[in-house]
Amino acid sequence: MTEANAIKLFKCLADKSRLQILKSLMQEDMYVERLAERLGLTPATISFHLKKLAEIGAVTSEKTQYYTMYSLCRDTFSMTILDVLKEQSDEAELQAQRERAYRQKVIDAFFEYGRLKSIPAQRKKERIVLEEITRAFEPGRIYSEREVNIIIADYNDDFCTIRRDMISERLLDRDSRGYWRIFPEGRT
Amino acid sequence: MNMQKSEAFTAFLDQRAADIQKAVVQLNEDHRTDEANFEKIRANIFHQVIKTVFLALQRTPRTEPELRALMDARLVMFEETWKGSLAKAREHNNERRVLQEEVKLEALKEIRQKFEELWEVPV
Repeated sequence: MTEANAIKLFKCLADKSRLQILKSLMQEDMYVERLAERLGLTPATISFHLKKLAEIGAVTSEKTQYYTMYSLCRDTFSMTILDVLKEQSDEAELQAQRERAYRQKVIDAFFEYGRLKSIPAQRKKERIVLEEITRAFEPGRIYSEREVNIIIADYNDDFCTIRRDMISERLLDRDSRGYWRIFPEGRT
Repeated sequence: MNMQKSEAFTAFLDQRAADIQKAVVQLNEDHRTDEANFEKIRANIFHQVIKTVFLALQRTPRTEPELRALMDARLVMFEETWKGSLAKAREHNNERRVLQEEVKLEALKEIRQKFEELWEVPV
């Protein structure tokens, strides 16, 4: 379901009469006049709501000998809200662009001629800065603590703090053999 | 012109519009926004359309039969126009328009009943 369709669906369902119609159709298929009697609304009002519900795929209709029977489209409602949220947003690329621009702005502000001027106080900015330094580590290689310190010292003299922060941010990991880079998700 | 009848007619239009406005508030509170919007259309027929026409007719001095005949003609004109719109909406399966035109015609029917009751127009 596209984001536009999800919005249409939620908007359409945010109406008590339409929910009542769906609840009635949950019990059994019905025609307009029967729904009108049950819900105390005019047939024209019911038809109006049914048309809206049909447009979002919430109900289907079938012409029988005397009436048009309406039924609940269960497939539409078997989808969970989580399924809708998991769908790729139309805005995703725009958001990614904004994120890249913000990232570059932070890097430009804190690095000068390849050196880190200061460690950002804001955690979000510090994370970006640390990710940038992590790129100096080859993926899959194990480094000694001395090697790690030398690499970080190329960026900033406070290599102890940066090394510890890279561990706590899960950018580097360590054990008795040494340190290695953990890939930030989606980045090399 | 019988002022009492005219005043009774405009009072009726105002009262019905006020009643419908209350229903609009209730429908909105009940999360029935679309139906509330259709009721706003109904209220407009009483308060805006018919009252405006009636007050305009009253601005020129006329005898009571003249006023009655003119108002009757206006009501017939509205009815014919809206019935035509309803037929077109049905033809094009435009449910929203069908409901709008039905609401307008329902309001008009109510207004005509009151009009005939006050001026005793033969049905």
